[in-house]
Amino acid sequence: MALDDLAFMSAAESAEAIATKQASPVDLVQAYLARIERLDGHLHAYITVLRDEALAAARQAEQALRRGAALRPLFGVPVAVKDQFWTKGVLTTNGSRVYRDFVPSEDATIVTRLEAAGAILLGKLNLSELAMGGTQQPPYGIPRNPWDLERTPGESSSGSGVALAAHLCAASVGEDTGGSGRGPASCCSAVGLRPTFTRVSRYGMTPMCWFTDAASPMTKTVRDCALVLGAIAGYDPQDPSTSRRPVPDYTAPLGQSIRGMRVGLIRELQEHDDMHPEVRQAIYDALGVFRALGAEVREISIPLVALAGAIFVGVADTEGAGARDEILRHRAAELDPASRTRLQAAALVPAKVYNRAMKARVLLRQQCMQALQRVDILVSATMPHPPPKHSALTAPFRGAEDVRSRFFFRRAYTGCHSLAALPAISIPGGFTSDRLPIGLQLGARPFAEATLLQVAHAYEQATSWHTRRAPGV
Amino acid sequence: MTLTHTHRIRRLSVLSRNLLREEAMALSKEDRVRELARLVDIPIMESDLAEVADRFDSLLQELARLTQLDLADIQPVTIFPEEE
Repeated sequence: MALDDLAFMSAAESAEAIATKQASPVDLVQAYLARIERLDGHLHAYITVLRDEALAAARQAEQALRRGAALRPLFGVPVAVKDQFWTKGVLTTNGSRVYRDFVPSEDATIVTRLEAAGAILLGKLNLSELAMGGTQQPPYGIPRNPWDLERTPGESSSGSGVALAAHLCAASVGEDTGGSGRGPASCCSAVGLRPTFTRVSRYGMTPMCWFTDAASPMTKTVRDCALVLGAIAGYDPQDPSTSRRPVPDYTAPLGQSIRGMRVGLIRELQEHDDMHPEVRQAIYDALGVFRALGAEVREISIPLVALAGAIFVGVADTEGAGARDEILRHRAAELDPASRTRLQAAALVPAKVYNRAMKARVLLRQQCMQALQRVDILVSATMPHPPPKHSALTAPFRGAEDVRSRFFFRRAYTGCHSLAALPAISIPGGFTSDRLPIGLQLGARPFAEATLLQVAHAYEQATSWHTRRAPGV
Repeated sequence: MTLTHTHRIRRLSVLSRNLLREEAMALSKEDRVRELARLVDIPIMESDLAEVADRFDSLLQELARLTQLDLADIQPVTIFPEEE
């Protein structure tokens, strides 16, 4: 196999190739490093590339192989993480000039666990400033969507989406507060999972909103997603909020039939007037695939989901502004204008309004849980439209109505699962006539990631969206 | 002008109460944001004021839609209990 071809393998295929000695960890790392050198100058997926460290780790892995070391799930697989996760001795910018000199003295737990599973860290990936969105002048380069360089790769785990679509890493971990993992997955035709709140440690992950932040496996395939989740999930004494539930083998249900599974389309999201017609049709087509696979498809209603965008911003932005009080008071000039004005506006929200948003969040959760008594899986689009152009996303707002239409509406799609602390996944769900990716979002009950992955895998294997390659990569 | 702590809280309380009311205040939205920011010690550059005001205005308008909900018996829990 040619060196460049190695980079097009999934993480699971890479691990298998290493295990069967068809490829070596050094070959794989070199294949990705060569692609990064060739393509990332204009894609801007990476903020930091750990060239020497990755090659050294790959050589150590080869020595371990020769000694007959036991193979771990991600042994020798080159991965990259969002530059929101601390890495010991390695710059961690959080996508902001404010953190341009921040070098943590510890690794985030997910970094430790990826390496314990055998993965090799290739580098740190670009993101919207402070894991928010709408950064007008990204300080580490504008991440470009390989499917259309004029389009956004989604926010805020933008670098993860770009790196997967351009095959600049085998797998990634992003972060998802209100859709920051699922959105870029949707825009870049990749897989992005938001696990149940408390399923994965957040130790060493710079926070946006304490109540909804979650580490997010982002991958080329659903099987890879199961592998990465299995590697990073589980109780962490350094993050006391993590669940003590045992971590199952998430790959076990992959390939099992979904016959009889109850799949529910969220009516309020599907019927929204502002939804792009081709995205709407793609979701209807997906329901046809589920029916053909033997699932029982029905419509369900979650009335409060229409307000999920507003509730999310009321909770997350206000919380985020509070967490960044020091920056807002003393270093606001170093922030991108969009981050600065968004946080400043949120910092002024009265406690009464914040409290109302927190209560509405609980009510939304109750409605979601009621819906999940009637169905096993919630279905919707991940985003109501294909990836927008950079210029449309980063243009300054023109009045309050412009803020409402651009800011709140799209956040309802992914924000509802975040607010309800449910696991949700975005998988490739088709393409528009302009060949722009469409994301299909599935949600499930708390800690039902295995079911979620089983259904996502069944859909993925019944379609071919995940096999398409972005042009020019 | 330097405000005493008590004065600041009193002004903030009045301003917060008023901005939640439907009737418009005498202040423009930019002036309202400037005054709120001063009271909570968040410096805002004049060049940012219009955008912060638009964002704040739309945020409050969106969140005002939540007043139609009956939330009287809802407790705003921070972490949801694990499902059995």
